[in-house]
Order: sequence, then C-alpha cells, then structure tokens
Amino acid sequence: MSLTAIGLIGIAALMFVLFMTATPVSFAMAVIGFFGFCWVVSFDAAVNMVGSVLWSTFSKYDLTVIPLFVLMGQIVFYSGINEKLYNAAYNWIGHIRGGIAMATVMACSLFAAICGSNTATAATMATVALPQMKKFKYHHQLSTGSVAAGSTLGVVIPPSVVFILIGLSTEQSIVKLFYGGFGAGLVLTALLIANVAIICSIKPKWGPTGGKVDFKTKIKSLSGTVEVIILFALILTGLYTGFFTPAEAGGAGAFLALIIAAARRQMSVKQFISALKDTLRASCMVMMIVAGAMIFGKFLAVTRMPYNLADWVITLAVPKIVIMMAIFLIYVIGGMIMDALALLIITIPIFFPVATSLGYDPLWFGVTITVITTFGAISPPVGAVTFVVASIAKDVPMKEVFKGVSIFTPAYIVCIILLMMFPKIATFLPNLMR
Amino acid sequence: MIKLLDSIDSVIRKILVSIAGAFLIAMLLLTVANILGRKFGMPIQGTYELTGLFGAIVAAAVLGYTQKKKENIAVDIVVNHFPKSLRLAASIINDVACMAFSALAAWQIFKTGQSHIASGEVTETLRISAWPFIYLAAVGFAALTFVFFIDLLKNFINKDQKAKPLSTSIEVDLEEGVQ
Repeated sequence: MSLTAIGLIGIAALMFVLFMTATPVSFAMAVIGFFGFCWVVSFDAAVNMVGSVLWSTFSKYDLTVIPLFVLMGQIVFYSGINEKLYNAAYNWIGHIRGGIAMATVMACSLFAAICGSNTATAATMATVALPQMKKFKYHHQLSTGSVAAGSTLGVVIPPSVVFILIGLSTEQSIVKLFYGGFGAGLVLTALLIANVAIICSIKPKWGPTGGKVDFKTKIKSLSGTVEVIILFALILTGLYTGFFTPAEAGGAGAFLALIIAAARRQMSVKQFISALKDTLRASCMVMMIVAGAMIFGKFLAVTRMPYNLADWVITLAVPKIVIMMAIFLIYVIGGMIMDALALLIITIPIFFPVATSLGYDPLWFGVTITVITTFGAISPPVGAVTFVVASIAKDVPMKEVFKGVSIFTPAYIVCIILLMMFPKIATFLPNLMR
Repeated sequence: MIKLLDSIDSVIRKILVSIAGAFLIAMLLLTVANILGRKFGMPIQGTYELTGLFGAIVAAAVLGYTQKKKENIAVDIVVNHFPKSLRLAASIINDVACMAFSALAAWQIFKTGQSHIASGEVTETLRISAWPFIYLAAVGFAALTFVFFIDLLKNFINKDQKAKPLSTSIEVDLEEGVQ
C-alpha cells in the first residue's frame, strides 16, 4: 500500500473516531497519529515520538502566548467591562431604527478587541444586550441573531486564539495574522451593521428606535471604551513595532487589564480565582489540541500525503478558484458540524500546502478560512455560539435563534466575496510591516 | 469504591490546580518584569526558558481538571442520536483509548525526565535542569489517566447516568463564566 493511501486511511479513521465515539478531538488526533506512525515507521519510534512531541509542545515558549491572552480576556470578562462597552454604543446609536442591534454588534467588536473567544463574547454580550432589546420590543430573531453574529467577531478581531494556532501550525507570523484579522474584522463589523439596517428597512417593526440621550451622557459613557481602546492599541502597537513578542503582549495586556480592574474595584478575589481557573482549563484544552495535532502531523508528514495531495491538485485541469471554492465549501460544511478550532487544526496541514502551491497568499488564506469557520460557529446543527445565546435568551426557542442567525448570512457571504475580490483587506496592514 | 476514587481525584485535582495557578501568576509576573527590565536595560536572564517551563506546568497540571469539566472539544452530534447501549459502547471505547494514551504519555514524559537526569542536560541560559518540571508534567498526565479510569468504571457501575450527552462544555461555560 502506498504511503499516501495510508495517510488517507488515517484521515478516514480520525473522522470515524471523532464522529462515532465522540472522543475529544485532541486525543483522537493523538491516538490515530500514534497508530499511524506505528504502521509507517515502528512501534518503538512511535512510543518515543509521543514523549518527545508532548514535552516539546507543552514547554514551547511560543505557546505561552495562549494562557496569557486567554487570561487577559478572562480578566476583562469578569471585570464587567462589557456593560460599559454596550452602554457607550447604545448611547451613541441606540436612538436610530435597529440602533440597539447595531450597538450590540459594535460592542461585540470592541469586546472582541480584547477577548479572543467567541463563546465568551456571546455569553457576556447576551446577558447585557438581550434584556435591553426585549425592553424596546425588538423582534427576537433580530436580537438573538445580532448577538450571535456579533460574537463571531471574537475570533476574527485580534487577539484571537484561532490566529495564534494558525500561525503556529503554518509557521506564519502571529502578529501579521492579527493585523490581517483586524482588516477583515472591521469589514465584517460594517457588514453586520449594514445587515441590521437592511433588515430594519424591510421590517421596520423588528427594530424600533431606542431612547435618545443628551450629548453629555454620550461623552460620559465613553469612559469604559477608552480603557479598551488603550489596551487594544498598546497590544497592537507593541506587536507592530516589535517591542513585544506575542506572548509578552498577552502578559502585558493581562497585567494592565488586572490593574484597571483593581483600580476601578471591578474585580473581587473570587472573580480573579474564577478567571484563573477558566484560563487554566481553556489553555489546557488548546495546548492538548496543539499536541494532538503535532502527533497527527508527524504521522501525515511521514506519509507525505499533504504534499502529494498538493502536487496532485495543481495538475488538475480546473481553474484554481474552483479548487479554492471547493476548499471553502468543506470549511463551511465542516464548520457546521465541528468546532472551528478543531476543524482548522485538523484541516490546515492538509489544505494549507494546497493553497500555497496554487499561489494563494498564506496570510489571506488563514484570515479567510477563519471568517468562514467562524460562520460555522453560529450555524446549525453545532453552532456553539448560538447555543450560548439560546441558553441565555431562555424565552426564545433554539429554532428561532438559529433563524435569527440565518438572517445575517448575507453579511458573511459578502465578506467572503470581498476578501476574494480584494485580498488586500487581509494583506494590506500586515504587508506594511517589515 | 467510586466515591473513594472520586475523593482521591478531587484532592489530587485541587493540589494540581493550585500549582498550575501559581505558575500562571509567576509566568505573568515574570513576563511583565522582563518587559520593564528590558526597558531599563536590565532584562531578566533566562525569561524565555522559564516561561516555557512554567507554561508546560500551566497546561499539563490541569489535564485531569480540564477533562473532569468536559472542556475538551468533542464532536457529539452523531453519538447523541445513538441508542443508550451504543452510546455506552462509544463511551467505553473513548475512555479506554484516552486512558491508554494518557498512561503512555505519562510514562514517556517520565522517561524523558529520567534521561535529563542521566545525561545531566541543562537549559542554555540558566544552566538548570528541567527534570522537576518534566516530572510534574508526567504527574499531570498520570492524573488525567486516573480521571479516565474513574470515567471508565462509571460506565459499568451506573449505566443510566452515563448515557447522557458526552460533551457538556457549553453548560460548563455558562455555569462558571457568566456573572
């Protein structure tokens, strides 16, 4: 049997184990990778490989960026800054039709600028925004849909755990991916807001106007927003100028967020301990996925399957855009049935060589697939973010929340089309860097 | 029997979570101190080495805790539609495979520590041996093996209770995350 065939069997076995036994993705990759390595090389080599890969992955300096950025997000999450962000956005645009839903999307994008998780963004924003939209009699599909769609910005706008993992697994600069995500995140935010405006122009009753506030209140409400912008600017400027490594940026951000929360007396010791515990669990989960992917990657590397697949794909007599669309379709479907993080970590070793051999910019590819898979995070049947929103909007059935999410599909489709037509949305800012 | 194992696991988990939390704080402080030190021309020697070693403990020491909270991402969309008996079979396969792998990982990482001691290997800058960190990471994997072992036993002891959806991470997020 050829090595490529063994590689394909390994992928099929991984899919079987993932779906038929619900084994955690990290362990499924590690176990299949181990057996595959045994098959291709030897049992002794596979046993030694497991020990060395696990220790070298867990103790890798580059990976310490994960707990530090997660900690920053958790501190911000527990300090209740979400309410301030929401109030600021609400005071400025809440009085226009659909304004509260637009304010929700804006607050989500601001929160995403300091938090790298879409489920954390969803949980925080849903608790603040949904009662307000209910008070002003917003249609439940618009209210829940805007929170869920806005929350996906959590992984598109930096810092983002997904970009960190893409950077590590494709050996790209995490900083450049962050800047690429910044451009795409701004475009997606604008499109989601435009989506709300269009819905409200077709169905005006879905998004009634909110209360007007005076200019003084508007200015005053910006106080919480300023802290977030300072934190975000500090991280991105420090990374851009090379003053920080990504891990240092995470550490500095977490420390500053802690100082701000302590100075404003917004965080108790109990909340700080909860933030630490959440950080430990989330970091461990991500690190184990990386370790599993490394073991599976070792197996794929000895089969040379990804490279042979890439060589085969470029000989196909079809336009490269068709191949890219097929890859995107796999990400759309995959995103619907799998967690975005797991999907990316499994598929990147396979599709990344294909994309680069077709001549696509690796940075653009990383940003675009992130936008695509993040849409999967709100699509049925496995939209984790949608589940979070539905759990908080207790009076809205799950089906209605999914319907609400579906009305934001045009924003994602337009965003992906724009990214394909104007790749500079993702590559302009990173290319300014040396 | 299960109660006893659960309480042993709980004690181990609490100790390891405390250790990991302490290393997380140490990692944060070290990173910030190095940034400030560098600004004033006094960077802390060996920061990258220590941060890497601390990071290993931050993640490895809470492997059991993370699994206990069902935080590891699993694709349960198909399994949740299985009849009880099949779901139980899937759960047993899952627990056996994960337990075997984490036991192998614990043993191999322990051996890595032994080889560090035997060869007298030290880090490049600080010239310290990494074996205490490696052994602690091995303990983390051993604790994870223990969690999977208890889960496996529970499949046989309380079949009805086990036949629930396998992944509960979203519920955990909400329970612990929302203020």
